[in-house]
Amino acid sequence: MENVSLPKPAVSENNQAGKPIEKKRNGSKLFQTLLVPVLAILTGFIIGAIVIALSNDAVIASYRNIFRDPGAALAATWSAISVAYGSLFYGSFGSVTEIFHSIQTYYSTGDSKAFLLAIYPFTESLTTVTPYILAGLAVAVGFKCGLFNIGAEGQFGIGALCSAYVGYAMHAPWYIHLPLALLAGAAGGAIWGAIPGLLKGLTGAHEVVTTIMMNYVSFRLSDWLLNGPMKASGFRPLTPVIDNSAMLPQFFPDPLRLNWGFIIALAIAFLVYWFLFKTPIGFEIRAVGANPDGARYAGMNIVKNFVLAMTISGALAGLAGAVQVLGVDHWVGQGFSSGYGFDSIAIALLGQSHPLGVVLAALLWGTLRSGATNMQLTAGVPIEIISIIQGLVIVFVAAPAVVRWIYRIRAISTQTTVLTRGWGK
Amino acid sequence: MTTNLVPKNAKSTNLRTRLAAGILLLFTGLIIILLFGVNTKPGLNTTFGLTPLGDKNVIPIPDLVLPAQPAIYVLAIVAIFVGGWQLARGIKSTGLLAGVVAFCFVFAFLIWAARDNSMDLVGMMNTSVVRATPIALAALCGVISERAAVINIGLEGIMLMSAMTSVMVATLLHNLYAGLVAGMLTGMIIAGLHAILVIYFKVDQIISGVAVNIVGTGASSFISNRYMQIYTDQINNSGIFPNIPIPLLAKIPILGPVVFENNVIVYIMLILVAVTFVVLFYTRWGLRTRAVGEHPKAADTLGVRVYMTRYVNVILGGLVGWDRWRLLHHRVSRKIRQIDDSRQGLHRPGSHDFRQLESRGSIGVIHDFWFC
Repeated sequence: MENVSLPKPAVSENNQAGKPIEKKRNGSKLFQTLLVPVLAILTGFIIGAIVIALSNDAVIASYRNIFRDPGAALAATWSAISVAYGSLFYGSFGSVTEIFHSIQTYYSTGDSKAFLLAIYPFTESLTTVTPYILAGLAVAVGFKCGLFNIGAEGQFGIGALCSAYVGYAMHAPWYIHLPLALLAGAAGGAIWGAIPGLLKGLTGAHEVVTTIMMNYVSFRLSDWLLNGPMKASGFRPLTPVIDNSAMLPQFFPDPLRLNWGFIIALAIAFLVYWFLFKTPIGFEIRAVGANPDGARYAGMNIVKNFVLAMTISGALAGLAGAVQVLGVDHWVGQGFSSGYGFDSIAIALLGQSHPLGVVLAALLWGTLRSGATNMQLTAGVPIEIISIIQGLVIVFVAAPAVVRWIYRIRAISTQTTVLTRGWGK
Repeated sequence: MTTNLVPKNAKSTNLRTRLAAGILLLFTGLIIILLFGVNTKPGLNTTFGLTPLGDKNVIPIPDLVLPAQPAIYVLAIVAIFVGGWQLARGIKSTGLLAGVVAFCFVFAFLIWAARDNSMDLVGMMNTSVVRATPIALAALCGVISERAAVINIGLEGIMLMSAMTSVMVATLLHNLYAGLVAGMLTGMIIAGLHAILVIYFKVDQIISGVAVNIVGTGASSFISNRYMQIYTDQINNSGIFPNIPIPLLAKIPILGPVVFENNVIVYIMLILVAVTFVVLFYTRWGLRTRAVGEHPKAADTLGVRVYMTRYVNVILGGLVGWDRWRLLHHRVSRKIRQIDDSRQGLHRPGSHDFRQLESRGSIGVIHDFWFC
């Protein structure tokens, strides 16, 4: 194939022409790192509040009389926003006083029902967060190697199918069955991720295109599997329910679905951190991501690192699917993986591709998603407001210049991380 | 599309590509035989309807009746021959080759699927043209902005928002063309935001695109849930563009019903594909665009205003990316559809990337996408 020199990202040139940038000041490093994300989230919520107010009939009605009764208009606005965000918060974390009271009841009477009910929203949030942590890590590992893994959704689905298959088709004691089911999920995702990695390394096919195509293959494949070989008896295209021995144990009795998947996800996040930052292989992956030419000059094998990074990335996404199946759903249905692809990209971006950042971003993402259902029920604000807030947060995190411009903060450092690179670069 | 990260010897690469392509094509031929040929009982016929039922416009022509098995074998032999030729001699235009073999494959599949039966071939081709239209327009959008080195992965968000505003405006003003214009304007505005983020604030292009997608999907379904599905009659009931047969041209057998009996947007799409191609490759503006995309520094030295060109292009791209939802959107459901779009949006960057960003290529690719 001929080398076509195609677009380069706008970032690459005119760095000299940019504004003069100050040297790093001596402020707390952590503070500086957190400043932009926190302000970004704040700005996202403020704009979200405006949207909520504007879409509320009572608020609009009260603004017709703003000159006669400005107090009522402001009060209506405030109540619309506070009801919406209040129910969002309640849906995500539950009520602090309820939890406190229920603990008191538990100590005085030994009745744990109220306590379980009170912590239900919070555990549900953590349950939602679990697959997001793993899928976000998957995309983050790709970013660290300069690869843009858009295919997390497909890898997630394939991982879920593989682990569900092991879950219901095999029968073994749990200490064999459960690890095997998890491994099957990771392996399925790894294969799905390794193919684009190989194509990229060997033929130069851009991974964005190939992972998108692999997504389609996985969608159709799972449609076929769910309607054919893997279908349980019944009308709906679902797999059979997995064996008890393959389920991830739950921490609390049944309505609370929080399970060991969350601990696994945290452990994996730590492992990924250790792997990327404390091992030679991780260093190679990051070097290839930061500067492929330099890495090659230093004697690193680019192809190997591309394939490795994509394999790990796929394995993590597959594991996310496995954890969701084994811990929460216990079966796989159609459209199982939809939405996880884009969300995991967003989480990796928000967490700046650092495992700790990814965990924090996934916590934010998952709690928002989980609380939004309650907000829709209680306050009547459509759940999609969350998408708007999340999208804005990504914009602001990715464009610190915008945040600095809004809040009049001066730039602090010149260092920019390369997350992805353009088509031909 | 190729990276130059992997050290390669140019000659051996060529040889390897040639061999790989040849083997792939041969393999396709074999698959045709094994999958379709062997599975077809000898003696069955496949009938392809070439005149749509109840269409008075077209000059009627008789149906095409093919003996199924021999026809499949002929197609397979063509594919194998092309593959063998590629292996032995190497043909320059791999795109053409792949096109021929893909055609053989699809046609063999159709013959196999409709064996001992008949199929409305023309009707199916018409559907594929109609369904290809939105993707073609979005792909054009991608092509235009990508030629100026701005990747627009946010096409999905742009399309959703444009579709939504166009439906709203069309219903409110009782004028479909007003809706069209509104959709285009929305596309321009959102593409303009993307451009500002990417060019002025220097946000990573893909991140900005992802954000545009998330906000676009979120905002359109927010408004859809909050208003459009509640006040359906007032703001979500615009009707659809009627099919306008073009006089004379619509009478041509096969081609007439497939191409010349569609609604306005299909025609606009066809014209825009041609226009984009000419403009990009044969005008000064097109040359500058490509220069900015391929070698910004050189273009800058020559006095082309790099950033300005990029702005203009991305926004123009948005203009093209606009609307098309108007079409499918109404045909299928009259409501903003959420789930399906998310998959289609991802199609687009893929589809326009395939043929090295040539706009004339995009339409061919798109066809392959929707034909089955």
